[in-house]
Amino acid sequence: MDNTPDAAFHDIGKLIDWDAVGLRGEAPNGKPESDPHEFQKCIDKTWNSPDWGIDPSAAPWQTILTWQQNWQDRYPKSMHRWHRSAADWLIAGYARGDQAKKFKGNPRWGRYCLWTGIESTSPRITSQDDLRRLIGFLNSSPTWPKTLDQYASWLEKRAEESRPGLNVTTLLAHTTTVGKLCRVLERAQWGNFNLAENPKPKNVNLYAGWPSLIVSHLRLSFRQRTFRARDLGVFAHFERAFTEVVERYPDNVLSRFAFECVCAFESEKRYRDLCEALDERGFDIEERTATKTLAEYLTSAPIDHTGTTQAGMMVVLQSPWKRAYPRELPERIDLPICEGCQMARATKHWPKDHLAAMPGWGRGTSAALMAKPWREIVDTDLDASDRNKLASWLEEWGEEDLCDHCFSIRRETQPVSLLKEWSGDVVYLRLHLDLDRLNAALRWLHSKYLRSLHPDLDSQALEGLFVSFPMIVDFVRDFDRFLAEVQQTLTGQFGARLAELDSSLCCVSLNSRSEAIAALRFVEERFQAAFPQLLTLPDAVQNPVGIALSVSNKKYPFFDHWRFLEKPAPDVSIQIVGVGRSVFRLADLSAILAAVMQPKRTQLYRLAEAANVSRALGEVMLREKNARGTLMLGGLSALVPGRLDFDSALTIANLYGREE
Amino acid sequence: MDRTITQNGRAFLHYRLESDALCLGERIRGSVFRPCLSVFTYTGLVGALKARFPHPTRTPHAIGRFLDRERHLLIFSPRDRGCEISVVPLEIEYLSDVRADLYVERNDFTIAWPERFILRLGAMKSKGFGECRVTKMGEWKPAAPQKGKLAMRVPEDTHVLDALGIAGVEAPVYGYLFRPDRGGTGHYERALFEGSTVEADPILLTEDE
Repeated sequence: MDNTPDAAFHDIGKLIDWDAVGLRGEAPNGKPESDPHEFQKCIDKTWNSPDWGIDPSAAPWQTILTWQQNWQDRYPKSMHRWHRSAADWLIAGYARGDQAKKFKGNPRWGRYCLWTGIESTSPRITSQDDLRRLIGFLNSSPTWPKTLDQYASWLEKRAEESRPGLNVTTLLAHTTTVGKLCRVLERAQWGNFNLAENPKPKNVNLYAGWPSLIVSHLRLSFRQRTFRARDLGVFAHFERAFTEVVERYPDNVLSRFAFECVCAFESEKRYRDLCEALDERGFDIEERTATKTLAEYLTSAPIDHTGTTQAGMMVVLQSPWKRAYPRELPERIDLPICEGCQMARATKHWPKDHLAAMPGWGRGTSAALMAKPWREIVDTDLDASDRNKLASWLEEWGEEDLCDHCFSIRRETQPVSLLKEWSGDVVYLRLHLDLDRLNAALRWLHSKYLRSLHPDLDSQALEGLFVSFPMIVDFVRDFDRFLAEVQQTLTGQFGARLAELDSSLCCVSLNSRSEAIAALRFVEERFQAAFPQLLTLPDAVQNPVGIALSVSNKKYPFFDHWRFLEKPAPDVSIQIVGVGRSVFRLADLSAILAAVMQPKRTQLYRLAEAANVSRALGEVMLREKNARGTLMLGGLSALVPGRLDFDSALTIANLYGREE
Repeated sequence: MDRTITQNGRAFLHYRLESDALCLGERIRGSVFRPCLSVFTYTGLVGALKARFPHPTRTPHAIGRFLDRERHLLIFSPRDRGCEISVVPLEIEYLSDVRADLYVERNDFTIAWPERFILRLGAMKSKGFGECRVTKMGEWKPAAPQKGKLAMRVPEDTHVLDALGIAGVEAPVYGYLFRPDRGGTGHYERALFEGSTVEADPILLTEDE
C-alpha cells in the first residue's frame, strides 16, 4: 500500500450531498452550515471515527483532513499541507475568494459547461450507504487513476465551486490538476518554513519568497519538411514521440493538446530536461514562460475584463513567444548539410544506406549498395534475385543526404500507404485549437452565463473575472473527444478514402471537389454538438477552434498545404491550390451552404470562370438578376460582402460548382 | 579586410527591386520538389550584388524586404542532351510579380552605382529566372533601433550585424546559410532567420511589428 498522500483527493468529499446524508446542520445564525466536504462530520478532533470508520492511516485522509488542528503532530515532518494548499489556490484561483462574494444565491452543484450550455444534474452522492462505500474505498489507499475508474463520471458532473455562476469547472479537472501541481511543488526548493504554521486559512504571506515555479506554454513543430506523400507518416511518428516525452513528465505536463502543452516546473533543470528530451526527439520548440514565486502567482490578479491581464498560472499567456534551444547549435556545418532538417551535417544517404543495412541481399547487390552512388546504380549491378525487390526503390527515390537523426526518423516512419492508391483530388483537413483565443472566448462565455444568472449584475462586478486553468483542462478534454468523433465520422463517411495523419489532421481522397464541402459539413455537425455556445460568440471574439481545409490534386506537394494548415485562421479557412482562399465564420456555415445549394451548379461554375477572366465581370454576375428581378445566384449574392468577401465567395463557388 | 567607409554615419541607398520571376531556392528539398523562400537572404543579395559590381576588396551590405509577390509552381524537366531524353521532372516554386525594397549600405563604393541596373538573383538563371530591375528611390537614414521580428535571413556574424544595424538579439530563430569558400566549395554558418526578435532599424523588421 502506497502511503504517499495525493492532493487530488483533497476535494473528493464534494461528491457527497451532505444535506441528503443528514450531516449538514444549521449554523448558529439559522442558516445551513458550510458544506462539510472535508469529512468534518465523520471524524472527531482526536482522529476517532466510530460511526463512519475513517482510517486516518490511509493515504487519502492525510490530504483530506488538513483542517485537523493537530494534523502536524500526526505527520510531524510532512510539508504536504503547504504543497496541497498552494496547489489548490493556484489551480482554483486565489483571487476567486473576493470574486465569489459578488455572486449570491443558492448553490449550483452541477457544473455548467460554458461551451455546451448544459448544466449537469444529480451531480452528488445522496445516500449514507454510498458515503460509507466511498469512505471504505478511501481507507484502501487507492491510487488516483483507480479512483477515476469508479468516480470519474461523478467528478465530471460536480462543479468544483458551487457559487451560482462560478460553477463552470469540473471537480475532475480541478482535483487532477491539483494532484499534479502538488507533486511538482513537493520537488521544489522550499526555504525554511515553520512547519507548525498552517497555511490553510489562505495566508499567502507565509509563502513570500519561496518557492519559484516556472509555468511554460510549449508549442512544437518538427524540422522534417514534409514534401511528399511518402513523408506524411512523420505526423503520427511525432505524435507518438510527444506522447512518450509527456509520459516521462506526467506531473509537469498539466495539459496537452495536439503539439502544444502547458507545463509547470519546480526547477530550471527540470524544465531544461523536458526541453532536451523534446529536442532529442527532433522537435523545434517555441515557448513562452513565466517564472515567479508562488506568492507572486497567487496574488496576480486581472485588472480588467478585457482579457488583457491574466491571473494565476494563466499569466504565462502574457509572456512573449521565444524559440528554445536546449543545446548549443554549431556555428558552422561542413558540407553536405542534412536535406531533412538543415540543422546538422548529413552523414547518411537515403535510401542507399538504409537498403545496405538490410539483410538478405546477394553479394553483387551488397557491393553496389556499399560502393556506388545511388544514382549510378543500374539493374546490371544487382544480383538477378534482388532486381524486382529493388526496382521500385530505384524508380521512386532520388538520393537524399540526411543527418543521423533524420535518417533514423525516415527509417522508423511508416509511409501513408493509402495515398499511393488514390488519384485525382484530395483535401487535407486540420483542426486547430488556439489557447489565447480560447482564453478570450471562455471569458466572454462566462460573462454571458453570469449575466443570465444575475441579470442585475453591473459591468464592474465582472471586472476581475478570469479563466482558471481547470477550465482549459476541461475544454481540452472535450476538444480531444471532438477530434476523435470527427475522425470517426469522417471514417464512417469516406471509409478507405480517408487517411488519418494524426489526431487533428487527415486527408480525404475526393471523387469531386464538392465533397470537401461535405467533409466540412460533417465537421460542423460534430462541432454543433460539442461546442454549440462557441457559435454564439460575437464578431469581436474569435472562435478558438480553427478548421482548415486545403484542396489540390494529390500530386501537389504537401509542403505547400502545410504552410496553409500549420497556423490556420480562426473559424473556417479553405484553400484551393491555384484557385483561391476562403475565410468565414463557422457560425455562418449553414447559411453559406444553404446559399451555395440554391443556384444551379453551372451558375456557380460560370461565376467562377467569369471571375477568372475578369474580376469586375464576376462582381457583375454576382449581382445579376433574372426577368423577375430576383438575384440569379440567390442567397450567395446576399451574403457578400457581409458574411463572405468576394474572393471567399468565389472560392466556395469554385469548390461547389466544379464537378470534375 | 573590409574597408567599407560609411558617410555621414550609417545610411542606406534605397532601391526598388522588381522581377517577373524569382526563384529563391531553399536548401532543403524533397528530391524533386524545390521550395522557394518567401524572404531574402543576406548571402543571396550580397552574392548577387558582388557579381554585378565586382570589387577585389569591397563587400556591399544589403537588406531586402518584399512588398508584393505571388507564389507559383513550375514543373520542369531537365533535358539530358547526351541521351536525348528528359530526366525526372522537378517541381519548382517561384515568385512572380515581385516588388521589393532593397537597401544597400551607403559608402564611397556603393554611392557610385548607377541609378538603374539589372541584378541577377537566385536560382534557375539560365532558364530566365532571377532578372531583377533595380531602380534607385533615394536614401534611408536609419531610425532609432526598434524591437521587432526580423524580415530576412542574416548570418550571425558580428561584422554583418553591426553593418546592418542589428543592435541586439532578444529571441533568435536559428538556421544555416551557405557561405562560399575559395576553390568552389563552401560551408554553412549559423544565421538569424526571419521571425527572430531583434532590435534593429525598422527596414529590417516585418511591418506588423
